[in-house]
Amino acid sequence: MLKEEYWFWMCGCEGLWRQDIQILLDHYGEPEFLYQSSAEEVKQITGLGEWKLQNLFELKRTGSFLKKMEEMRKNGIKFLNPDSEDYPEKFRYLKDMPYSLYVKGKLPDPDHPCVGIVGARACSGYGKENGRKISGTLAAENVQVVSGMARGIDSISARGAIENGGKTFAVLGSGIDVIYPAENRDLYYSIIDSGGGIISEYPLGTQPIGWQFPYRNRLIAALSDVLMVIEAAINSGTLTTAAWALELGVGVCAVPGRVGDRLSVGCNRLIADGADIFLNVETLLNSIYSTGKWIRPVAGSFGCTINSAKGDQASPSHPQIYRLLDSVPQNVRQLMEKSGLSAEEVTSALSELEIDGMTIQVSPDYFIKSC
Amino acid sequence: MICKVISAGICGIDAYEICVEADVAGGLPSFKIVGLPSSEVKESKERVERAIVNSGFDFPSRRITINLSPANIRKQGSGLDLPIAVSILAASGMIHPDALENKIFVGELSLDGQVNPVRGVLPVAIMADEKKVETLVVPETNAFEGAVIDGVKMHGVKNLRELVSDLNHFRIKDVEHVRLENMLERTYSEDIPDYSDIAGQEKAKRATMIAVAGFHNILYVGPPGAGKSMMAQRIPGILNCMTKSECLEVSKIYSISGLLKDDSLVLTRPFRNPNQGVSSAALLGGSNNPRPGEITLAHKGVLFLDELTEFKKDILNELRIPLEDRKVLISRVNASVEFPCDFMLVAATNPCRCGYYPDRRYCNCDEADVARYLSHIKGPLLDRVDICVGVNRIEADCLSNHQTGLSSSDMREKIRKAQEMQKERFKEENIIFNSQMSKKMTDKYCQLDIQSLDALKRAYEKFNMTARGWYKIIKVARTIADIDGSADIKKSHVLEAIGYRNSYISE
Repeated sequence: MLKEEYWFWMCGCEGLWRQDIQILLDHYGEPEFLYQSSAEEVKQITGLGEWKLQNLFELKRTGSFLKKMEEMRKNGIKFLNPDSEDYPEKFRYLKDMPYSLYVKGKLPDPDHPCVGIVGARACSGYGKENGRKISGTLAAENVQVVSGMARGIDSISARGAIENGGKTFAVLGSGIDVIYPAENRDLYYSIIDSGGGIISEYPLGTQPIGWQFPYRNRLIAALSDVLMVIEAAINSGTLTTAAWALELGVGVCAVPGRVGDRLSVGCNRLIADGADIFLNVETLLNSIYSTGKWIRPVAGSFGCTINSAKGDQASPSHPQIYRLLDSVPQNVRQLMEKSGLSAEEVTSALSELEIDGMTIQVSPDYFIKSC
Repeated sequence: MICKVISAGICGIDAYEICVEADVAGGLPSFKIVGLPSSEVKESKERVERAIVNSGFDFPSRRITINLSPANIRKQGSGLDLPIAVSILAASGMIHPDALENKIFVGELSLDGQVNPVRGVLPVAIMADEKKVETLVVPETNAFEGAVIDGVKMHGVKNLRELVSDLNHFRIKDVEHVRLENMLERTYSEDIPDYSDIAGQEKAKRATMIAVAGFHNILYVGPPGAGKSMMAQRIPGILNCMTKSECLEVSKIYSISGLLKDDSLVLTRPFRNPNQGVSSAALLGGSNNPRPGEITLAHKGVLFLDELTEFKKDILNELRIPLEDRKVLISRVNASVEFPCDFMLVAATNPCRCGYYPDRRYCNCDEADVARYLSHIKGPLLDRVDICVGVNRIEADCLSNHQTGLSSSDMREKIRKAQEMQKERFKEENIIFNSQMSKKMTDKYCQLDIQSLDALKRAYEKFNMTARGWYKIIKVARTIADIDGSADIKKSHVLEAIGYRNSYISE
């Protein structure tokens, strides 16, 4: 049997978590030695629960894990262990590095910077727009975007990166073959098709269980060179990612929010505690490339599809309304009051601006200026 | 001796003639009713017998046979008591047979001989008019229903004794006939709340006006307390008057449902507001003897479904076909009847479970929750909603500065003009509102100029619209142009219509 197969046998067993594997490795050093042992012996030496070991040695007896591994390969899923050549270097610095990694698609290219983008699942229009814009612009500048493929900011920034021809990577909190949330099925495949990848440390078929997500956040933090936090409520999972980042010495950059908004509290708190404040994408890009680790692509050379000056160049069809729009969502009534125009005039002006891409309806009836 | 009396029954919303034959002959005393009577008609035996005796007449203790023809239709309702009693009295010689000529009798008897009101007198009056029957003998409380039918004398009776005396003296009473056209010229009463009560929501108010002008279905989406129900409840105050034929049709429905009130026909367009627990039979019509449901009661008027997502999903699904066909077919063992239901659907819903999306100060629902919440109404109804408008929370200054914006009378005036334009446009078609245009008519009557077409094309691409969405926007734009008094659809009209597309739930 190959070395890799011993690893897969040990790590791919249901009910055996990372801590258990650590105990096993502490005693045996190599999965191969464990394989040659018996359940009773292992139990005596390590003190692990009987049913866990039973599962493991049942697998050994039937050899079904070999079939599973074959099937996994057929589905284009790669299995990595710490001995693998392409095991990401960044994970080796983690004090609880994952012993198994399942990868579908590619892993982030260490020759290009990686930015983690995380934020609230129930995000606001402001967060959505920022997520799409920031990830899109970064992706167009050859920055790889890492997130968790959760609802809200995570999915939006992944989509933003793909739309702009960039690469994006998602670290899942479930088994790699379990798409959660289910509505992101299309995103899952477009991440892979666009040259990015899906990563998970959990055995195949692991269901999405609550605690796995904050724990997986350490991998997002570890993969990132800079972690962008877009919207976060206090005590949210997003903030655990930021905490992991701080522990690992990864720079955290937070998008400031309006004081008083529930979803701004986390980000503003991070800024108060010393995280970088997000001013604009250009500043962020400068700070990433000024480290000298990477070479910034010449403008336009990397399929840069975002035209950041779009709104200013073309003259808007309804300047009176366009001037009133900003990044805070406003509805028709507010715009009527400010412009002194009638409901029908504002409604049709907004429709035209929206068709022209000058404004975005972030949520029904609420409009912001598009940038 | 055999005696025949004409009466009537109701099938669907129309009346049909029933011939009640009584044969009083020698033999052992008995009392039989044949001719497919339902149980309430069979029970009338007891009522008729006691009513005759208690009115001071002799109940013939002979062999009595009552036949109801046509014998193949099941007879229902209590309106046959009176004709049965009259036929027995006539057959036993207590009423002059000539007095029964050219008359239709409908009425329920009480044990003391009083004549109780029945349902469905208006359709009988209309049938009597068509069949050139001179007099309709009905319970006194129902006599007003025929007041608008010129050709028929409405003889209202209080009790059996009085009726027998009137018949034997050939006295015919009549109610004061009125001209329906005069009654329909509507003055709007003070009790209907006015749109000037609603501060701020100008877009929603305008959308409502457009919806009413073109009879477009409208959906309000907004947080609790923002004024969705207020908006809907004021719609009766801006609906236009009914025509004479519309009034008769609607009144017929209310007559057979026993819902005519205050001695008057239904003179204003109905506004029905069934609650969320409504059963399928109550909404669409049903029961063994098919009765009109809420959608039929809303015929030519408004059906308002508040908190749309709280209705049962299958019930909303069942609304789909009636909305499309503007009539509902109810098939039961006994009969299969068709009720009209040409109504304007007004619906209101919260945008998400907590009700506050997209206001993140209160709402913690994520996009998937929101989509799930609204998926309930997605397929069945949304396709038929032309206008979707947000009713948003308004700020305190807006509430306190007492700007009223559009009032009901402003809206009425604009709606009247828009509807005149539609009447003129569709004089050769069998429709009267823009929302009823078929695809062909839309192509014929709604020519877009180059700029509007360009705007619509770009919107179609940008918003991933469907072909149905395309036509919806053109129809709404046509109504907006009518409100503006513009013969052509301009770009601004199309753009405004695009602003009323449904952006809450992607199609």
